[in-house]
Amino acid sequence: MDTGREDFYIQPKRDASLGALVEIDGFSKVYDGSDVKAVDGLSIRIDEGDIFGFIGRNGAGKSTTIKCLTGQLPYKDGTITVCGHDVNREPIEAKKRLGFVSDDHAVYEKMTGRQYVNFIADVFGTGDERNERIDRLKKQFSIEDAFDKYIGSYSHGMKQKICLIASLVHEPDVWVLDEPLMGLDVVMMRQVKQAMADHAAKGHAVFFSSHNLDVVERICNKAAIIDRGKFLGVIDTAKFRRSGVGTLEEYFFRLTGEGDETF
Amino acid sequence: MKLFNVLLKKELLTQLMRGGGKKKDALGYIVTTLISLVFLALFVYLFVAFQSKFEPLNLVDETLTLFVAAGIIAQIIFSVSKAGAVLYGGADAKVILPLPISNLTMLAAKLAALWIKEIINSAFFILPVFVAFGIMRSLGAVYYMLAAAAIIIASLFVVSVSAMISPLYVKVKNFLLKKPYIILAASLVFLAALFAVYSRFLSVVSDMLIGNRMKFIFNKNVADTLRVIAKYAFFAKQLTDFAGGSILGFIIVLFTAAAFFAGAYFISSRFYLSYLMAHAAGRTKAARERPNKERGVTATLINKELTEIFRNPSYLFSYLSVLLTLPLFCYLSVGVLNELVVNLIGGDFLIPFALLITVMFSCVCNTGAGDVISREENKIMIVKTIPVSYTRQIGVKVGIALVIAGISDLLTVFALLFSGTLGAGACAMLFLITFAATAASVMNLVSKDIKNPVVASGAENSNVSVAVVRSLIVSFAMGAVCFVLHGIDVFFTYSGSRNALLTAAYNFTQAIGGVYGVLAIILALCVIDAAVAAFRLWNRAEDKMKKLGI
Repeated sequence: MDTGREDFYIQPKRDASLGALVEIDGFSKVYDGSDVKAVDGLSIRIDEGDIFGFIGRNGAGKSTTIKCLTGQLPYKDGTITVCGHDVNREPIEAKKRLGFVSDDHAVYEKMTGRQYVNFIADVFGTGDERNERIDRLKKQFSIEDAFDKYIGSYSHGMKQKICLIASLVHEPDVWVLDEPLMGLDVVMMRQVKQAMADHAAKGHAVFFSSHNLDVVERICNKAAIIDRGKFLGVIDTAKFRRSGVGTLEEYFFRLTGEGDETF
Repeated sequence: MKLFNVLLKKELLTQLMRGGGKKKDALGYIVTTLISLVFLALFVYLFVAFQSKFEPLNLVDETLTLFVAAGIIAQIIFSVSKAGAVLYGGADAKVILPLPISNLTMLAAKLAALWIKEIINSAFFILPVFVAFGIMRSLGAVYYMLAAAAIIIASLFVVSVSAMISPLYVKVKNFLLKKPYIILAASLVFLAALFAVYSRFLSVVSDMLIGNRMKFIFNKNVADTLRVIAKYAFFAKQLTDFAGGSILGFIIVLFTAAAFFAGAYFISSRFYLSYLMAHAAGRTKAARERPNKERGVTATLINKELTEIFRNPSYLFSYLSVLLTLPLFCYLSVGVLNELVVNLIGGDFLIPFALLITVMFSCVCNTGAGDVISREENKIMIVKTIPVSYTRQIGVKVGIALVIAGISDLLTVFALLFSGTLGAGACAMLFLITFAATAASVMNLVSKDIKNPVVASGAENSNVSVAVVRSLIVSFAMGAVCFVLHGIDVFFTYSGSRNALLTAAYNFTQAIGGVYGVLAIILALCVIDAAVAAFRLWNRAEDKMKKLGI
């Protein structure tokens, strides 16, 4: 594997004074009862304006990393900070800066869409500004008609939309999404990509995991690669595209030793 | 035929399987089995007692008929909802509809699986009656073989009637599910009626054990009435005749059951596909736009918990039925049990009985509040990612449960106070003890839930079974201690015996303040138990919740 030698790889910076929104340094995770590291030595930095992709195959450690970042899973090795707040030591302060969309879109189905979004806005302390944001996001994700219906009656796609709206209502510094593009139709995929671009343009950051390497290559400015728990590096996607090594998908397969079959 | 067998096997697997998850609720199975055996034993005891009482009135066969009829009716009542869920629940709609399976074949397999399940269920409803009758009459192996065949045919009849009623049941249920308050009101009325019947039932059992007032129940007028009712229980009568060796009875029950089954198959086939497709479509009506409502963090957490309770019929029922029916249940049970003991032993044991019944049922009925973490299921992700401390989130969940328990316990002691069953002092002590014991039970349960949550949907939660057993042991222990010490007091006062041991025991009870002294000691122990439970719950709660990996 040629990690680090290509010039599209970003060398790690460890200067916290430069104000990274997310700093993951030497993070490793071993599940109880296992000897295998689910994540090994991950170090990434997410800055303002970044749309940061996190790519790897199933079971590579992407969801584990995201769960530790968002406070769902405990960890012992390494540090994860969000806007300067250590997730282990100051979990509440760290979580206040995050907006999270899970891969299974778990949501309170006995609530209406509006009630759920307002619940999330309440716990994040969002004031009257929620009204304008909710109206804008409802329109942006085309869910105006169903917004006051019970979430239990929603389709899969509508539940995803509610989760997206709820995660953005408090304008988080870092928007974290776990496999957000899975199962989306072409219209909704465009809506999500636009929302990511809008969020980053406001000086915030987006961090998401995905199997869709084409989309990551096109919309992200940075992408971290992880394979079987091992962190392989962060690439600058603009430099990658100029490098001529091929598509990100082809490069990923070469990097991870998956062979060179072509379709 | 091969396809039918494949579908039948699948139906038996899905209908007989209980929940998922690796951890099986072994204690729950044991407790459920023991309770079922107790009720079974009581049912058989009543049958034998009724038989012996009605024998002088020539009402033996009619008694068997009526008990079998009652068993069949009970079995139908219990199986209607199951039939509705299996036939029209649509759980397998998305899997079945695209497959090359005829609806009629699928339906036949479902009905056949329900029939097999009913044969197993009849072990609790009809078989015990036949067996008790056979033992009482010293009947031979042929009777038991015919009884077994009768049960198989009866089960076919039960599943047929259930399947015929179930489309209406499902329609009413789907209507009511959109109106949870109607369900709650109807459930409470039903429960209140059930408790009133239960109270009457306890009186009958009490009379039976004492034996003095049975002549008012087992008289010629009652026998004549029962004879008339037995005539209308035609199917049950023919079933018992068949078990007794009647070929005509066999022909009648077989053809009746077959005719009902054909009817059930015909009715089900009319509704099955439309219900299945309705599940696949899942449309809803338009909703009115409402304004955004801003709340503080604690208020929004409370609102979220209450929304989950009030919009989920099973949670609504378990929380509010406890609130409103526990008082009635305790009042009826305490009164009847005390009357039984007064007649059997002499002396008033209201306070020990009130303590036992109230603490036991308050703790047991409030275990529903103890799966506050498990019930989040995959939404535990939300609990863990919102910027609210786990202490506050758990505090809100436990607080709501304790408020409901407190109101329920207060209404219970009010019922005992205003009915004149107990005095104000005893009621005040009873409330404090019950609330402390219930609080300890709820907090212990939540601690266990945090330590061993069962977040997989549909999986069994053994924590509740453990809590139920603990509550039973604790309440029986309290009741027993109070009963014994109060019994010493009563015995010393009424018996006139003055032996050294009894006198010493009596002096001891007086030294600690009599029954009120006992209550004070029990209260102190309950408060300590609650304090320990609170410490166990809140101590390092943040760390425990943090370690709750998913």
